[in-house]
Amino acid sequence: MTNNTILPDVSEGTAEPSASRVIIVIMSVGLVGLIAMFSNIFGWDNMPVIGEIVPLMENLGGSGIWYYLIGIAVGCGMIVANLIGGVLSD
Amino acid sequence: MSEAFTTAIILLTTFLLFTHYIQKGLGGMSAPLRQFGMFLLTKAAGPATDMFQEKEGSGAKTWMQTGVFWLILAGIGGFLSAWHNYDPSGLDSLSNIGWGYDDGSALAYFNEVAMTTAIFAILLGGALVAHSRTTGSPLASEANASMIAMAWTGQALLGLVLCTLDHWDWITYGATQMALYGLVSALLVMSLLVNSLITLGNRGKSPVSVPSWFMLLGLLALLFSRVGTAFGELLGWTGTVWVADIMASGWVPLALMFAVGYHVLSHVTGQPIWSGSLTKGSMFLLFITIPPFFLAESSHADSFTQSIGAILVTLGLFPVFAAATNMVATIRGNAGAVIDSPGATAAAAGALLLPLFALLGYFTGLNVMVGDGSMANAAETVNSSFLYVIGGLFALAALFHSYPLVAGKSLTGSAGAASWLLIAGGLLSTVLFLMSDWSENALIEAGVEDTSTGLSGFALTGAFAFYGVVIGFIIAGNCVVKTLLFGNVQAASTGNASDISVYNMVEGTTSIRELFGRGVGVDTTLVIGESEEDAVGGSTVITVSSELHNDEVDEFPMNFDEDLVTLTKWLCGRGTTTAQFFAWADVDDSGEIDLFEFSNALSVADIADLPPWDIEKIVGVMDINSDGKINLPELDIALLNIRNKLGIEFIPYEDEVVEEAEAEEVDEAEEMAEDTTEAPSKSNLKKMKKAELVDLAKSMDLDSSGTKADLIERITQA
Repeated sequence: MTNNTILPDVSEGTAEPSASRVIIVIMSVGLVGLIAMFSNIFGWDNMPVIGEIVPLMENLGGSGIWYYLIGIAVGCGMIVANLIGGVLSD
Repeated sequence: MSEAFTTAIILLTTFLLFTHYIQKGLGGMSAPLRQFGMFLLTKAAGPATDMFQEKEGSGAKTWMQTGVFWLILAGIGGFLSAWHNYDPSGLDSLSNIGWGYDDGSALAYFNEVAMTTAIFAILLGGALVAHSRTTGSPLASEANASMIAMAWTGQALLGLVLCTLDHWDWITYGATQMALYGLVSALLVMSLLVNSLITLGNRGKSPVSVPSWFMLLGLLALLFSRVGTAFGELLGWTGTVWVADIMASGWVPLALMFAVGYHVLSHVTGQPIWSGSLTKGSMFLLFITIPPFFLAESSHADSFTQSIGAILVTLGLFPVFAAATNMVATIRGNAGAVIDSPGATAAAAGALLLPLFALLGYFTGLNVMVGDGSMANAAETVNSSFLYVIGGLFALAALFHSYPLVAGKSLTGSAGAASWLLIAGGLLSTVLFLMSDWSENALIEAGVEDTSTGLSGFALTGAFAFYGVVIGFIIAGNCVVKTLLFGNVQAASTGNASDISVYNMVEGTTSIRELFGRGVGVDTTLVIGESEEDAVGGSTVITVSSELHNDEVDEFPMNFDEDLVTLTKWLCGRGTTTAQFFAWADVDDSGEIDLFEFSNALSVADIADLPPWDIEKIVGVMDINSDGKINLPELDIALLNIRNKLGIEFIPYEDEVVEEAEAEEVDEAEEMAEDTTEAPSKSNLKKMKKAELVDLAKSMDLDSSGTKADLIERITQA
């Protein structure tokens, strides 16, 4: 009972649970996927593809698959960056 | 189909003989075959083997690292394939750099090859870790295992290139070429099998572990399959090729999945495998039935053969259910540990989902194999999902559990996210793809001409769900890289448990880290100031508990090397202390015995004349600090451990010295006594009185008359 008077009503821990990263990753992937997908599911084609947003990629990014491929490229780039970083740091 | 029955009989006989000789050994042929096998592994490939490390665990690591490369490729290929079911023109903008999409068959073939290679490489790496740890010995040749891993990747790439060149009509990749390719592949598998069998021989009298059984039988099945395919293609035996395909696509991946699953779940939970009967049942029935995956159409066979095949497929469900149940039951009571470990989470999910996929594969596969083939699209989806989801989950189990174990590093990265993305994405995408397939079949039955329009939603959501699988694979690959490069070094043998119950220390200095390095645990009793042997050798006495060995400690195996035992007996019999032997063997006085010096010492002492790889292995057993050489404490610990365990009596050399000294003293006394009976010198005689000279002359039977000078003259001349 005494501690209740010392502690604030709301407190936040300093340690980060590892499960929170799992939730963040799943939600991020899910949301990005849904955004890229809803226009096709509901027949609403106003969702711009990359080719319409970036003029230089007009001929390249003409399909929604490129949103996903960017994620794959970032992931593979992350692996390569870690490899290079690890080798150089050694 | 008579070839199929003939092949099955030969196969069954081979398996029975193989298991018999693994259990019973090869008797007198073991040693020469082992020598020959080691020659093949280390010397036959020439300098190629020398390009790879012989460091413990490097073979398994190389397999898993090459597997990660294929896993990411297969994941990306799988997503492209899934997306193109929705929008075949999605990547048409890449047509100017050679991209072209046909009916999807080329991409499907690439995905199957890439995913099969990935699963085989990663699961084999995980199984090799289990095999090595349960036999208590590194692989017979880690360098050879690494070399074969690279060669396996090379041959898979070569196969894809050959298929592409054949597709473009640049070369002909026919039956003969495929047979040759199969034989090369068989040689690689043969090398792996020999390596694993020699490693198994180092286990002493311990029983063969469950993961080792599954791995060895899986490798034998793959070897038989490659040889069967080669001869079947050459001789036109379609039945043999059919059996070989079943083995390669059904038996091998399942056997390796079980090997990894049993190891990971039992190790993480710290509990033994739940049921021995289910284990034996799954092992025995797996290799005599037909697994319900990748079933091929068999309308060319007669109805009797088809019926036998269908019965065997039905029986093939048993080992799958038995192994899955056994693995899930193994985690009973310690599910918390499974949730905390991403590798165990993946293995448990794989075990839980496997029966579901087996049932789906059973109904759709039988429809293809002996039915009208109306569910061929669903069977294809189930087979593909089996590889990606179930195979992927067990592969992640190996990457997240076995890889850190063998690398000696802590798992680093978002491994949990990878496991859960694969579970969620894989399950959801499979359900959506199957819904699409069944809807398509329903539309076809209803007479709808253009089925693709109404099914695009399934294809798109399925591709989106499958994206989770791809991201999971990429995160897994990143975890492997981060674990290797940035993972914290795990302090080996610093667990709470230790094999050593009592550790006696002598005078000098040491550190807690050094003691941990020698296998001392936190519960080990330290005895300071007592010594069983005399102080000359600086002895250290170790008592090992009779309990089962802790998996983390491998410095003091229960079964000692035969040559080390002979050396210990030889030293004890001669009364030579370890320090004396060490000083004798250390020719260059460097304070350490290297491989050459140790080999030379054993050879000179007529104990053993061993090849370099055996010397390396014996030194490895004693080499606690892993510097490739033996120092005095390491030698002392190893030999005293053998002495105490086997009760070899030390006969001190000092006793013989005393006896010899006593004998020498007696000899000297006798000599002195003899000297006293001899005539003294002339000067001494002159000092004596005449009466004494008379007595001396009488004792010497001489004439005692005459003067003192006469007596002296007579005595000196006598």
